[in-house]
Parts: sequence; structure tokens; C-alpha cells
Amino acid sequence: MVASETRRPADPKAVEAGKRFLSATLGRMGLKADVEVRDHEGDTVLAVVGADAAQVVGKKGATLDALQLLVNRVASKEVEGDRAGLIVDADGYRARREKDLTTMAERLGKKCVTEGKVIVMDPMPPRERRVVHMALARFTGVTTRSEGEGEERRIQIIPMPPPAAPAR
Amino acid sequence: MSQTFVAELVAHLARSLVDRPELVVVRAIEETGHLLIELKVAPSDLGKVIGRRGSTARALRTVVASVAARIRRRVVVNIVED
Repeated sequence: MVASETRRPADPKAVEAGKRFLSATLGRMGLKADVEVRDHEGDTVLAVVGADAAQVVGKKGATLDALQLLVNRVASKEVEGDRAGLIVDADGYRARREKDLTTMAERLGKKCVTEGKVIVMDPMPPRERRVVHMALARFTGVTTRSEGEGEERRIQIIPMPPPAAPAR
Repeated sequence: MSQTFVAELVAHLARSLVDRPELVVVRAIEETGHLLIELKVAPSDLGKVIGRRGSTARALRTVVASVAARIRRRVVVNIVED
């Protein structure tokens, strides 16, 4: 994965369209919340703030991910043939999730080394897979790769050297 | 009350996604046990509300479901062809 592909400043028109759409959507969901535009390590983040921000997250961030997908579809209309690449966050969820993913990756990395077997994780979106790849890149004794297509794409944690082929 | 509320949310989401917002039609139908929301868009906009492998439609339903849970209603969103 090439970092410069996914991280570059979002188009101001796309940011504005995404923010306007998200604000209007939260209002129509009956939530008291505002949207702030922030920069996080080069990514443009639309942060939901206010009394009802926590309600925007949903189970395992499902509502947040759904809103993020819709925001990017709407914002991408402003940047012909390009991805808007906006992140939607609320209640510090993305940072929390990144920390949890890192912890989980390290735990599975250890398990992979101890058991000497390939571990296949649950499917995850690209940004979450990147967190796991990065966490395990500095981990000795394992390597990672993604397998599968689209929403079924999952990370495999592979012990290094790889397990020997089963004896015939 | 919840009928128009949910219908307006779906209409807003659909109108924001499509190229022909004036052709978005949303109907709320009270069925036994749930509220049915029928979403109609221009045939050329069907892909815009469905998305690759249904990803946009799924996201739309997730947002609606979060509202439905809060108002304790079961809501079904159907995308129908014109």
C-alpha cells in the first residue's frame, strides 16, 4: 500500500460538500450535533461534536462507517473521477479503534509466532487493515498480507519463516 | 410522526446521492410490524443509490436502522425501479 495514494489533502469543494451533507443528515436523524473539519496526519476528518456525538458511532462503528461511505459518495461528485477520501469521526472513536486494533494485532502476532500457524483475521476496511499491517511491520517473526476482494478482504498473519509444507 | 421523519431522512440521503434529485420519490407504508419505505429514483440513478455490490444501499439502510432503533420501530427500505 502506497501512503501517498490514500493521504493527500482533500479537495476544498469536496470537504465543503461532505460537511454540508453530514450536517444535514445528522439533523434529519434527529441528533443534536455539529461537524468540525480537522486535519489528522494529512487526512481530512469530519468530526461530529455535540450532545449526541456518541450516538453517531453505532455498534462497532457501523453507523459511523455508513455515514463515512455516504459522505464520500456525495463529496466525490464534486471531484470528477476521484475519491474524496474523507474520514468521519465521532466521540474519538477512530483513535480508540486504532488503539484496539494495534493491541489485537500484537496479541495475534504473538500467537502466530507461538503456534507457528497462519492466522486469518475478520474482514476489515482498507484503513483498518493499514493499522494492522503497520503494527505488525515492526513485529519480529511474522509477515502480513491481505487476501480476498472488496468487503471480504482480510489480513493473514504468517509466521516467518513460513510453516513447512505438510509431510507427504 | 415517525413515518414522515424516516421518509424525509431517506429522501434527503437519496437526493444527495443521485444526479436527478427531482425524480426521487419516497413513500412510507405502514405494514404489520414494520414501516416500509419505498424509494424510487430515475433508472439512470439506480446505481448511485445501490453502489458497488450494494454498498451504498447497505450504508443507507444502516443509517436508517440507527434512527429506527432509537424510535423503537422496525423499518424496511426497498429500492424500487420506476
